[in-house]
This record gives sequence, C-alpha cells and structure tokens, in this order.
Amino acid sequence: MPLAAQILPPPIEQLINFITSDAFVKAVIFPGAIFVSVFGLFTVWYERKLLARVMLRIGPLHVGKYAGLMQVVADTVKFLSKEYIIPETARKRLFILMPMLGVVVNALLFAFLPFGPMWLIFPSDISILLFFIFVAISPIPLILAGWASGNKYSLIGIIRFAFQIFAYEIPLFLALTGVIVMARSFDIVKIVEAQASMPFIIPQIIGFLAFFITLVSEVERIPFDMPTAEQELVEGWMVEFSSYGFLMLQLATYLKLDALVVLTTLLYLGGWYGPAIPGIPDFILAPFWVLLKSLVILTAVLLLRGTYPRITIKKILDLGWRVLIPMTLLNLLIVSIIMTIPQFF
Amino acid sequence: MASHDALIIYLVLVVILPILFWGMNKLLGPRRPQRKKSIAFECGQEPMRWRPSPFPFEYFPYAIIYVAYAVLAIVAFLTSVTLIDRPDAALRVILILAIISASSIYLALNLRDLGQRL
Repeated sequence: MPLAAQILPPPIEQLINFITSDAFVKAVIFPGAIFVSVFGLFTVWYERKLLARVMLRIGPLHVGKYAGLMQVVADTVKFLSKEYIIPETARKRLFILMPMLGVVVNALLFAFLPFGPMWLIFPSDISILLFFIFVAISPIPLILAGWASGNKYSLIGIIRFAFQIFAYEIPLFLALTGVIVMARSFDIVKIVEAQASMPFIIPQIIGFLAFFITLVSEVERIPFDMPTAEQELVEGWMVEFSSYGFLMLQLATYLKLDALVVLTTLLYLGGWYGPAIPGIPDFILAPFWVLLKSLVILTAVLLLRGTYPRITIKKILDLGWRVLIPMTLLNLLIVSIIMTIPQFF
Repeated sequence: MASHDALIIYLVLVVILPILFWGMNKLLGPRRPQRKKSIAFECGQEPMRWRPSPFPFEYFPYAIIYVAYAVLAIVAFLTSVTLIDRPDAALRVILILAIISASSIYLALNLRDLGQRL
C-alpha cells in the first residue's frame, strides 16, 4: 500500500485519484476546458497583434509583461463589469440564453478533435460526422440570438447570416466526403493515420482550397463578413448585445474558428505527423505539430482580414454554389479515380 | 467507459463556464436602467415602427438551389462512401460522380446573374 494512502483519509484519496485520472486531465486541462479558453483568448490577441503589424501599428502593448498578452484578459474583465442592457423589443429569455448556448455548442466541437493519438476527449468511430453535426447546428443559437434582439439591423444581419451559412454547408460536407473516402474511415484519428506517408493536401488540393474558403465563410471572417458588416450594419446581428452577451457571442465565433482551423490541420496537413525532434517525447510532440500547423492556417485566415475588402452577399452566394460546389464534386471525382487506379495495376 | 467520463466532465464544465460568466456579470456590472438605454438601436434616431416587408424575392433561386444541391450532396456522399466497402463498384461510382460534377459545372457556366432571372 502506498504511503500516501496510509496518511490520507479515503475521501481525499479518492479526490486525488479523480483529479489525476485520465478523464479529468483530458476534460479539464488538455485538450479540455482550460486549453480551449486559453486558445480562444490567444486567437483574439494574435489577431490584434498580427493585424497591427499588417497596418504598421504596434498593437496591444502595455497590459501584461510581454507584448500586451494580458490585454485580452483585461478586456474580458471590462466586458463582465459593464451593464447587460436588454432592449424593450427583445425576447428576454432567449436574449440571455442564446449566447450561453452558442458557447456550449461551439466549445463541444473540441470534444471530437484529437491533438495526438491519445489527446482526445471523446474517441468515436464516427467522430467526423459528430463534428459536422455540431458545425451544422452551431449557427442556430446565433441566429436565434440575432432574432431575439428585436432590432432591424439584427434581422437584416441574421437573414444574410442564414443564407451564407447554409449555402456553404454543402461544399463543407462534400469536401469532408473526399477526405472520408480517401482515408476509408469516419474516425478523425484514423484519417490522420492514413496521412502518415502523404498529407491529403497533395492529392486533394482542390478540396483543400474549397474547404479553406468555406471555413473562412463559415466563421464569417472578412471577406465574407456581410452578416456583421461593421460599417453598414453596425455589427449586424450582434448590435444589441453588450457586456456579457457580446463576450459570449465573440467567444463562440472564435471557438468555431479555432475548431475549424484545427480540423483543417487534421484532415489535410497530416495532423500530428512531422519531423521528430530528439529529446521530446511523442505525447508532447504530437500536439506541438498540430498546434504549429494550425497556427499557419490561422495566420492565413487572419491575414485575409488585413488584405481583402468585403464582398457583396450576391457574390458570396454565387461563389458558393457556382464555384465551390463544382470544385468539391470534381475533387470527389478525382479522389474516387485515385482510389480505383490501384485495382487495375 | 473512460472516454464517456471525459466527455461528461467536459460537457458539465462547458455549461458551467457561461453561467459563471453570467453570474460574474450580475455581480460586477452596474444596474441603472434608463429608457434611453433600453430602446432598440437605430443609429441615434427614434426607433421607427416595423413595416411588414416581403421576403427578399431576389434570393429565392438560391433557396431552390440549396434544396436541389442538398439532395445531390447526399447522393454524392452515399455513392462515394460505397467505395470503402465495395471496391468492385468503382466504375459505376465514378460514372455517377462524373455526371453530377459535369452537370454542376455546366449549370455554373450557364446560369449567370441568377438573382435577376426571376
């Protein structure tokens, strides 16, 4: 019997066992709640710093010891200490509940994303389908939040949002199909393992491009940010949300961005496969490569905001069904041809 | 079983976190209601009454296209997933996918300015 067990009373010992258990560490620390919130906050800081560099500014500087890292935390505290104003025309319960639900649904996306062969909250044989289900329902709390504000700008924003999101879900689904067929599995871990010799971006470059554009549109970043167009729609569907509500909605959209960026890494860039670094064990190296590759994709998404103007809703819809859907169907055709060729030789 | 445990703990945390933020907002935030604050935002103007406005008919074709492509996407999905289990059906799968993609490309090239067609 270990020494600690003799000294500690059984309830405390059970508590320690629970805290050090695999399930608790995965759910709370990595890749669970703490990691997800830190990743979300880091994305906000990274975006502000990167855009500042693009515009030859310095960006956040004073709060925190290094490069204004604590600015985001300070902003969070500021949002929480403001008054939560509920407009007269709003549906009050939905107005309070929907921002919460948005965070819950978008944070649940991370439950299906592996950061290494063992760093996964919920292993499942159909994890990619579960992920897609949550991506598909994630706009619904946000749409309801916009509708519940009872504002004209929100309503215009939410109609645009619904058109845009639902138009881009089909290319997303078809691009995922290409990956599933090539990996012969619905499990994201097995999809990554199928890329051990060659990442899927090489045979499926068309699918990757379509997936990337869809990703930017799904998280309504510039150039696809018609629903929240700051200059004409005054933040669109988010216009009535202040303090806590605004914070939650922003957190929800950033979490979705992060989850989709990590998914791109896992599906197309070979996930945790990368050159081995001597002296670093595999269970640290795997998340390192996933996060490094995700950071590259994240930088690309954020740089679009620094370079492109907003495009009109008609062009967004046209691009969706006229360019992206044929692109993804073509990708699917190429994938099935590649899969069939070995049979004939 | 351990996998379910992790998911349940994560779900509980993810639900608690926004409620915690809401509680913190209740504690930290001031509560000074005013009529000016609670009227709907309309760029500083007095809010105008709602008028019943028609559905933006311009975008109606996109709704139809969405329905058509949603069905096609499921057909394409089911067809190509067949490849995993039945490699012998490959030629038929490729034929179906080729027809679908060729027709979608043909449509994309020919149906320009969709918004004004109706």
